[in-house]
Parts: sequence; structure tokens; C-alpha cells
Amino acid sequence: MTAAQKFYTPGTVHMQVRIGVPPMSPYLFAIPVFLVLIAFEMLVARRRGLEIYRLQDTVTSINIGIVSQFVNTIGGVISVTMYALMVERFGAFEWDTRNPLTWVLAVVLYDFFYYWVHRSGHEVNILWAAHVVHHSSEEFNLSTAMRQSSTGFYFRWVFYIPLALLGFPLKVFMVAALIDYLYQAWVHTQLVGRLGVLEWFLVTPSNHRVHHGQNDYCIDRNYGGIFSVWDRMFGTYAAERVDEKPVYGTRKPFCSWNPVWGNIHHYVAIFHQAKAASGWRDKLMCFFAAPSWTPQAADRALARFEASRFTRFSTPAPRAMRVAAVATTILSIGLLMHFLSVQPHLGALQRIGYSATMVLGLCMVGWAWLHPRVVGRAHA
Amino acid sequence: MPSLALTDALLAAVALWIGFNRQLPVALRLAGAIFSAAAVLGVLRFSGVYPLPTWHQFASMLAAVCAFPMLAVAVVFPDALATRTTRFAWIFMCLMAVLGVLVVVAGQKRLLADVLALVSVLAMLLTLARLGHWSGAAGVALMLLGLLAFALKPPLAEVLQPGDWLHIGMAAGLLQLARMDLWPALRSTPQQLSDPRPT
Repeated sequence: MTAAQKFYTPGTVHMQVRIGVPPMSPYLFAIPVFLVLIAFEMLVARRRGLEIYRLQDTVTSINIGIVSQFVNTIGGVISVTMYALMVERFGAFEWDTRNPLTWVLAVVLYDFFYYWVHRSGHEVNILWAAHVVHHSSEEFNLSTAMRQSSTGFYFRWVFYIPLALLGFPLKVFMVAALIDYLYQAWVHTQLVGRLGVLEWFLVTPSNHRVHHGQNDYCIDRNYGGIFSVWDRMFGTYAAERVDEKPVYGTRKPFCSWNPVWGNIHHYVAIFHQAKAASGWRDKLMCFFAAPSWTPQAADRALARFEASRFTRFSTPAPRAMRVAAVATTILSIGLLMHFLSVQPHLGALQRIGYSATMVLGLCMVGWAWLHPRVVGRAHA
Repeated sequence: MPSLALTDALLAAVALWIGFNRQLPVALRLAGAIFSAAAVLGVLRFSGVYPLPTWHQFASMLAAVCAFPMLAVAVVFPDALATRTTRFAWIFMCLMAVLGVLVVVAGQKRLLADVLALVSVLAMLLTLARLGHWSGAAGVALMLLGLLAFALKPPLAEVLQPGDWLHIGMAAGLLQLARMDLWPALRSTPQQLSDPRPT
């Protein structure tokens, strides 16, 4: 039995395996809580007369989140396997997991390395291809937090190798990761203003709104997960401006409701760009330069953003289609919960088959929204 | 004090000097930083002051799969972005580190580290000989001898171990490489060093 197999059953917390309780994914509990919070935010926003939710955008966010859960239960094995292997081979110190300081230190260090994962995800084109899906929403609300990447698993583990070298056990690493992830959910809201002294050292809704903005002052700012001190230390902090509210989304708009396309569209764009580029140097630059780099405009500054010219992506969606899409998403959430509860007992092929079917189904919802006439004709 | 600790201290001193030398290209400095990390951990390990053998093994693996290829890139392609810009030197280093972790650690193919180090040294030797940089070529030849002595473990001298020859050869080679005038543009055109991405 390898180190990874010993420690890890996909989607489980190690301590539960060890004490013989049936393995349970923490997301089985987190997802319903997220959904309740989204409903609560919708309600409060409605009472305040704020339009921060659009049906297509919200359903797409949730669908992207569902897809990422399905894919990451398989892809996440890479991260966990590599971490377990590194701890076993190179971990230098023993950590007392009964000491709260171990957990605090692990979370702080995890967040430090998360800053670099996140920053790299924004500043290196091929890594941006994985992260762009999270920024593809032109709204900013709790459902945006569910827009998680399905392809980031292939590189994230690299950044956490120092934690493995320090010898933090796999369960400590996984819990730190979960805390960091869950903390970040609540900062995706427009309903909470500035939080006084907390703004100095914590990631807050205010400074995370800046992170999701596409205004000039928002680009490549506020990468922190829990602590904003990393941004202050490394010069990437920007405070929210009262006179210039962030406009959410990306400079190259996503223009789709398809959760699968959301995850792969930038990879496709990079490959097309590299194919068209002349010379190996430019081809490599397409992958490793900043996302704004192009062979034609290598030395040109990013164009100035003008908020007044910005229009949000929208497509017509007949009532029947909206109802069908919401129903499909609700059904998918139910199936995801089922998958998360049974997947420790499924074989690899069954897991892949289940996931692929679900991903394909959600892909169809996105496709249908982009082609309402085709769907309408078929229905008629 | 064991000879391995002393020769590792020598290598650490040279590599640290390279790592902190702002006159040298980033790739060379990063390679120096990796070599110095491995050497400092070697000093701590072999002197018995604070032995962290697993970290020393890991840093040595990184030196083989990252630092040697970075040296080679700096010598063979002195004008490359990976040689001169922090951003691309780091990216190159990370890519090589990932390759090392996946193949050497996860795949248990230790051979890759040896092959990468050897190919890098040979590429540097050929390039410097072709360009007529004989002092640099001599330094790299010492690196090669050090690597061969470490790999083949010939009975050269009883007082020194194979690892000592590697440390001495590396220190001498790095010193010669850092003294070369292969990267003169570094001082004259600092704008070339800037990150090419639009800001």
C-alpha cells in the first residue's frame, strides 16, 4: 500500500478513515450551507433593492461549481498523492496535532503559499487558463464563490511542497486547505461594506471585490486567501475606491453559459495563439507570459478600461428554458450530493463514468441557453 | 570535522556569492541559490550541527534537475529571457522542479537527475569551447570531473570522499563561470532585463 493509498480515500478526511467512521466528504455539509447562504443573500439584496443576481449567471456559477466538484474528486488525487509522497520522503519535522499552534501555523503557511498559487494563476497565461473560470462571472455574489476551476489541480500541489518538507501531516494540510477554501466563500458579496481594522490584515468582501474587478486599479491586485498581509508585503494590495466601483468580469469576456467551455476556453485560445505565433520564443511566450501578452502587442500597455462602455453578457432565455435549467441544476446538486456520499465506495471507472455523465449534462444546459432557437424548434 | 562538511562549506561560500552577485544574470544567481541551499544543508548534515538529511537529499535533487540546467541555459543562451529575466528564470526553475519531483521522486527514476546534470555540463563545455572561453571551459571541465568522480567513485585519495570531489569541482567550476564576460550586456542595457509583459 502506498503512502497516498494509506492516507487518502478521495474526498475524505483522514481522521475519519482512521477511526473507522464511514468516509464523508466535507463538501456534503458545505454545499447545502453555501446554497442556503446564496438564498439568504438573494433575499437581503432584494429587500435592499439591489440587482446583484441574474438567473443565467447564478445557474452557470452553480453548474461550474458542480462540475469542479465532480472533476476534482478525481483530479484532487494528484495533489494529495504528491503531498503524501513528499511528506513521507522528505518531511523533516514531527508536528503535534493536539497542539492548536500546529493548526494555526499550518493555516497561516498554507495561506502564504496560496497567495503565490493565486498570484501565479493570474500572472502566467497557462495557469490563468485554469483560474479564469472563477473570474468569468460579470456579477459578484456568493454564487461566484462556487465558480471554481476544474483544471487547477495539475499545478497547485507544487506550491505546497514546502509544507510537506516541513512535515505537516496530510490531514493537517487537508484541513488547512479546507479552512482556506471555506473562508474565501463569504468574501464574495456586495452586501458587506468595509470592515474597519480587519481590512488591515484580513481578506474582506471589500478588498476581494477589487480582486474581481476589471477596472485599471483592480488588475492583478489582492491575491490573499485569508490574510491580506501578503498583498501588503509583496506590493499587490489595493483598497476599494468609493468613486470607482469595481466592474466585475474579465477584460476578454467569457460570453458563454457553458460550464465546460468556461474551464477550457482559455486553453483553446492559448493553443490557437501559439499555433499562429512565429518562432519558438513567441510560441513559448503564449504559454508563460502574462495573460495580456500577444505577439503583436508585446510591448504595449494594457488598454485603459472604460466602465461606461462595458455591457454585461446576456442572452434571451424563454421562461420554459429558465425553468428547465433551474430544475436541471437542482437535480444535478442532488446527484452531486449522492456522488459525494457514495464515491468512496466506487471504483475509478465508475467515478469517471458518473462524473463524465454529469459534466456532459450540465454542458448541455449551457449550450441550450446559447442556442435557444435550436432548442425551441426541437421542442415545437 | 568531516571533509564533506568542509568541502560543502567551500561550495556554499562560492554559491552564495553567486546568488547575491547582482552583476550576474538571474538564471545563474538562482542556480547559485539552489546550490548554496544544498551545500548549507550538507554542512549542517555532515558537521552534525543540525542534520536534516531528507532536506539535503531534496535540495541535491533540485540542484541536479534545476540548477545544472539553469546554468546550461545561462551559458548556451546568454540572451534568453530565462537567463535574464526574473519571471522566466523562475518559471524555468519551477518547470524543472516539477519534472524532478514527478520523475525522480514519484517515478523513482534517479537516473534523470544524473542525466540532466551530465547533459547540462557537456552542453556548457561544448558551448564555451566553441566560443573560445577557455577559462570558463576549464571550470566546467572541473565540474564534469567532480560529477564523474562522484558517480564512479574511483579511489583518488583516502582523505577525500567522492562527494568531496563533487563539491570541489562544483565550487571551482562555478567560480570560473561567474568570472566570465559572457553576459556583458547585463550592465550596459538594463532595460533588456525588464519583464516583457505589458504593465
